[in-house]
Amino acid sequence: MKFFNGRRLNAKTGIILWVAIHAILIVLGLSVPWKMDSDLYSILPDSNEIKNVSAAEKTLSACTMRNITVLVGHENFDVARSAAVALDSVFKGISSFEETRLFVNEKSMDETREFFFNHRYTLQGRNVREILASGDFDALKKRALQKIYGSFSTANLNHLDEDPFLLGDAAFENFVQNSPMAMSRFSIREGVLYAVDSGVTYVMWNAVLSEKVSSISSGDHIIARLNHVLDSLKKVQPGLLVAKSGVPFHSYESSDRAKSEIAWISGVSIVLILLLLLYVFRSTIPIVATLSTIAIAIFTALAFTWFIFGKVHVFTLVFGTSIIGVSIDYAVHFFVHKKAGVRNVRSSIIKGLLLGFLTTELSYIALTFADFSLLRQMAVFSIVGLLSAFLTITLLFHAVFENADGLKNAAKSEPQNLPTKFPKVFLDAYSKLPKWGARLILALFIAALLPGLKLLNVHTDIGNFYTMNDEIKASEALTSKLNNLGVSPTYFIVEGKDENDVLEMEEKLTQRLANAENEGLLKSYLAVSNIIPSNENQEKSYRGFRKMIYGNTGLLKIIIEKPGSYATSKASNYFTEIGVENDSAIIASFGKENPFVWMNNLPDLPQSLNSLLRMLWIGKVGDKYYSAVILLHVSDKFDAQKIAEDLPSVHVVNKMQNINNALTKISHISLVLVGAAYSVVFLILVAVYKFKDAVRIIRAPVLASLFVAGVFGYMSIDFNFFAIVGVILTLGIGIDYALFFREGGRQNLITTLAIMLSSMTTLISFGSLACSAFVPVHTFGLAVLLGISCCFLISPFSAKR
Amino acid sequence: MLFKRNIFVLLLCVIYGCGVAMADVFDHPVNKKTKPELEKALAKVMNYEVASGDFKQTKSIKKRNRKFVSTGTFMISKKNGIIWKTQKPIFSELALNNGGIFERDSSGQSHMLLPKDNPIFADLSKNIQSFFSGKISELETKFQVFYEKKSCGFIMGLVPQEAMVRMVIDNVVIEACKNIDKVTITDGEKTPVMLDFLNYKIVGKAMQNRTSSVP
Repeated sequence: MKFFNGRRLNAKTGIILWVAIHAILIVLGLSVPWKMDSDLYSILPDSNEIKNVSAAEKTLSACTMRNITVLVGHENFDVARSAAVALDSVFKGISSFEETRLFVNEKSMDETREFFFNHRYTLQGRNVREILASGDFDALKKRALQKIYGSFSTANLNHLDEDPFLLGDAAFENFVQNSPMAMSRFSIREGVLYAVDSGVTYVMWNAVLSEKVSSISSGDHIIARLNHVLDSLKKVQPGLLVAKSGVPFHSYESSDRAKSEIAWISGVSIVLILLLLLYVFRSTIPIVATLSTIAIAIFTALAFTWFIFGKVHVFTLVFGTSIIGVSIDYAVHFFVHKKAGVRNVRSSIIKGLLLGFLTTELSYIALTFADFSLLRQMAVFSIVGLLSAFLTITLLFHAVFENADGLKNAAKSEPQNLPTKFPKVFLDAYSKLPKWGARLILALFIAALLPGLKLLNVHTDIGNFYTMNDEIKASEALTSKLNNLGVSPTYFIVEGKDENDVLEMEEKLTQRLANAENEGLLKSYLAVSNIIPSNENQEKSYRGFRKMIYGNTGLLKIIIEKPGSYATSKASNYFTEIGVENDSAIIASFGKENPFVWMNNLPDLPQSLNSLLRMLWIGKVGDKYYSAVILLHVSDKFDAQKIAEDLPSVHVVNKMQNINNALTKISHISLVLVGAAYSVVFLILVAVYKFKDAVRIIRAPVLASLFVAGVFGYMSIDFNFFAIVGVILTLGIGIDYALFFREGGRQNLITTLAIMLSSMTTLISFGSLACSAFVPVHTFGLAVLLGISCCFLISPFSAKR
Repeated sequence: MLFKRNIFVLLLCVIYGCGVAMADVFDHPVNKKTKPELEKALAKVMNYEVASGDFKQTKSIKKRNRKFVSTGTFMISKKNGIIWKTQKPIFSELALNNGGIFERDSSGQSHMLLPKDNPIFADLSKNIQSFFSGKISELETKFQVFYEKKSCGFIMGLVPQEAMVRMVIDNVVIEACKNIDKVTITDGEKTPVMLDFLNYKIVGKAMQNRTSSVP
């Protein structure tokens, strides 16, 4: 290797340079705190709006992600109940659970009724609110009389003196109608919630996992313990059925599955690669050196990416695995040539290596222009990782494993100490092929790909990435059926500068939702403002009621003066009609306690209302306030974007859809940028090798990528983000094969062996991932398997005859 | 959820008819011996396809010594459900059918109180079937049942099993002679609501024997 002035770079200088570059990159990384990012939302495009919503959504999710529900069922209610009681007694009070819930507090209904009675002038639903605000006395009276004289009214008439218009009942009714329990199929029996399905009575047990509980499975994980207890209960009580629901069950199940899968896939592939390398090199030194190269490359890349971005996304690590493939390839080339007796390996392989390195780097540099931080992160990670691997092979390996005498001995055409039988057979097959035969094969190959490419669907759907096992799927379906909420994956996050601003925004939104409900576009929705109206609406209700009964008389005057002095004639007549002798109790209620419920200064709330607020009220995130409005039983015609139109503080959220769109967009952009980079690579190759040879070199990785796309099209598999990552890996690694063949010549057994070994290690390490049941990993593995296999088979055509 | 449960209890009672609220019926829990007797008596008064008539409802607020009296009509069809119309002093209508429970006010505005997939509605439907066929055992899963034989007919008492339900409905007393004559529902605050049934008309199997009855 020479400097630009033509002087050779000696071993010592090489080591110093290697250490200096790595030290700078690593020290920079170590200077900032390390943070791993696994939030799928953070891959979305940079936008302040989305960022804020993302943070609010994250807060909302944090509350629901730890909830679990277990339904214990049996034909006999008593058996189901006693099993649920046993379950509760095992887990009650243990630190892994923040709380467990089986029994319903008998007093909760009375507490809730009392709370709404005390705030009856302010906490009203839309209909009563409008009556109060508009001063429609007759409507209010008619409503009350229907309750008083109606046959199936639940109104408590014992409080008529204090509440002659039964506003307390109206407020409580409004709460019940706007809470999740209004739709639920669960009811109470012997102090527990139960529901019946297909002749089986299910008793509900709920729990919230404590924050410290990991989502990754382990032998002593609380979910493992819970599963064990449920299995024991089933053994003890024949016919007992159990349905488990909640994110922790999915996390546990998928991480458990992933762990065992990773164990056997990585175990088998590592053993195979080690055996292969041992078979070829008959020494552990190349293996240790190769593994060290990979480790150093990943660490350096990680450190520098941390320095640039402040955090590293897990997807970056997935994408960055290309470093492993390329590092192995460079190292294998080095050691195959060395073992073959080449005295100055670096000089012998540098041209192919450098071109391979530059072309791959160019692809990654192109990705840094993408308007997605994740893609830029992935590109920087790969650029640095590849640089590290390249420098390790060309500077460090050269210094450590070679005599730097500068003499280059030609390798023997058939080195005796290397297994060249397979490369020989492989090369013979190609050499026997006539020129027209090769052209015919390539033409047929391209023609065969076209229909597949036409069928290709470039789309990412993370919904397909995780498949529940049948038991969990059935459990979720049953729980969803019995809860009967029909929660839509699309919901709204409402933003405001303070708590009241959020409620006011919600009210604008819920007015539109109420219209949509009337049009049959959705069955219902959950919103805090349905229960706790904005300050302005609470004031309107309160003042409206007072004005209806006392006209414009000031509150102080009403309270101080004797009863009956100021009530309007309409009000007085009504009181007489229902037997209320005077309005002293009403007057007393005005002065009794604060009738308002402000979100910035909440009074003690009953448990039922607290639960609802926990579900919907996000609170302060950053310098703003947020709440969620959840849609229930939404029809296909419902258009959330249209509902939120012209409401800038209302954000439509469909996490899965947003991520899918972002990943699909990233996929498209990646393909365009890599295509552009390959055009530049092609121009460089034309400059180095002339047009014809440049086409020969570049066609191998390009055709291999088209082959992957074509096969995905034929197999009707979505060409998703992870498949595209696989294709980019193919382009990065595949061009090296073509270049090495071009440099080494088709008759060079050493080059062929090195490429064979490289492709075998890549196929074993990445191709084995195609066996994974985890869809993203499977897709990535399949794309690499197809791409590298194809590239390996086409690359020999790049060599000069 | 629970506030709607009393609709169930009320309707349940209506199906039985009415009687004078007699506290001493609660001294006579139904037992092995009296259960068949009650079932037989119940089947006898329920031996119709359609029953209709007028009702008079009296809500008594004892604390204030106040009474609220309303009148209206009812129709019970074993096949099509129940319609309950309060005519005076203010109109309201309640209908129970396969689609759920609906309410209509004097302005004609109607809304659903309980959908058909609501557990209370499911319970109600199930129990209506039990009442129509006189299955006391099924009734006992929800209530403690009391029974007292009278010279003409019987008195039946129901006390909800669930403590939370008892906070809304303390007990129900049903009195029947040839038909269901009177129902008294006492709420959690011991306030009774009495339903007197008048101009009882039945259509169905036993029509030839009992075409009409006035309690």
